Amino acid sequence: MSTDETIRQQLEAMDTLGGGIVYGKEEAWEKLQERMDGKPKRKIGLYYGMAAAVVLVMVCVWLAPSSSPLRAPSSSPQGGELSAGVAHRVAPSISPQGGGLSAGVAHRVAPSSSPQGGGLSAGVAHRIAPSSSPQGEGLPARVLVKRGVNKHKANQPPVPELIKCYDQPLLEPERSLASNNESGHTGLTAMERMALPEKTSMGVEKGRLAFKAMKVLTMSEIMAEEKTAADIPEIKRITRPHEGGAFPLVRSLFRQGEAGGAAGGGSLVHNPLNITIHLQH
Amino acid sequence: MTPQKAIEGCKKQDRVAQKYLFDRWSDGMLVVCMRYVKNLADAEELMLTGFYNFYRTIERFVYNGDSSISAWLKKIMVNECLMHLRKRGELIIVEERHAEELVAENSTLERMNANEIFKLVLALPAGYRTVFNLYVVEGYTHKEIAKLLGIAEGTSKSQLNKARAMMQQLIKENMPL
Repeated sequence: MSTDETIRQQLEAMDTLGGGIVYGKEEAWEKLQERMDGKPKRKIGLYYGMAAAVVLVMVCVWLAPSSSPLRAPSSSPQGGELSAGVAHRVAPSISPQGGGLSAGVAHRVAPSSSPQGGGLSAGVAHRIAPSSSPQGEGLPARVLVKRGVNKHKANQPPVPELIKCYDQPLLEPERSLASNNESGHTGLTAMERMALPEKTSMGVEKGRLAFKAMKVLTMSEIMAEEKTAADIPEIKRITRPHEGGAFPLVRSLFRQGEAGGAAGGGSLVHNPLNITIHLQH
Repeated sequence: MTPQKAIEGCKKQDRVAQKYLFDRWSDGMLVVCMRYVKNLADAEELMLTGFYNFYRTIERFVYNGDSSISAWLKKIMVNECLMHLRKRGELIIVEERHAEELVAENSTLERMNANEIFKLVLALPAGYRTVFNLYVVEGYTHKEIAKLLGIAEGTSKSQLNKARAMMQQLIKENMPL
């Protein structure tokens, strides 16, 4: 008998693991049964995880547009803030009065040395050039500055109120840049011009997120004189961070109710789910 | 219950019959898997997968004595193990086109018991071990091994020669007689 044959016989005769190695036969059988029954337990956890992730994403999407104005604290003694629910990139303010510069999205506001320097933030994709003039040499328009957005109480949705108008000199980017140079040249090098973000037709910098239902206000729109008085309700409506603090379904009901009635101070909306919303204007 | 009735029961998805076959052959099949993958946890998983495939494909099985069940099961297990080794990238075999098979005669090996030989086999690298198992224990020819592993016949022979040489070396080192 050859060596190979001996080895084969020895190993084939071996039907248990030697050396004290044991394995749970019954547990193995249970595992096999589970596999045969097609009950993969691991997948259940996976489904729960996926459901939780979906819910989390939905909550984030719902909170994103309404939460950003509330997060910006107003430390300005005078200035409130102008917010339009869009994320902003805000440069530090060196204003002596130190207004809370706060806003939502896509904004780049250059440092302002204006003595009034109130809290300024708007949902506009604009770059505001530095101005050393107290009054500014740009547009003589009035700017509506709102205050009170952050005074949010638990049971009361924050409603922005227009309380004061400042003669805040705000410059449109092109004009302000032009004003820096007497010859009318923009004063920007080719590289700097290239670095300026492109804007979409809605006035939002490309690559930034804008919500479909959200109206984007441009500085020129806000600063236009003819709009300061007539469009206050419209601006109030657009810049309102919460509409009853409710879910989108209720918010849509809210809008319907608001469009249908509400001639005076508030309106009462009844819906099929018996949810009652009190609007405060 | 006899193995033949158990096979009939398995064809009807009878859980008792399945359990009977599992109890009878699972230990032996675990040893087979261990010979290839070395690791007990992997071997157990492969053994379960093998039994699962056995029950799934039992309609095609023709009972021809108890040894036919054992042979069928062993074939499934070996295939599972080879797949596992390939998936893990452990089956790295250096190609050698021309090699002659050496005749193995080792009196020391012949005097060793099953457990000692088993340990010796486990001490081999995956490539040597696989070819050694397939050729010596399972009884495949070099041509069949070459086809199974996707290597040249000469490579299979050289792997076997190296496996034998290594085993002799291990015997010399560990059991000087």
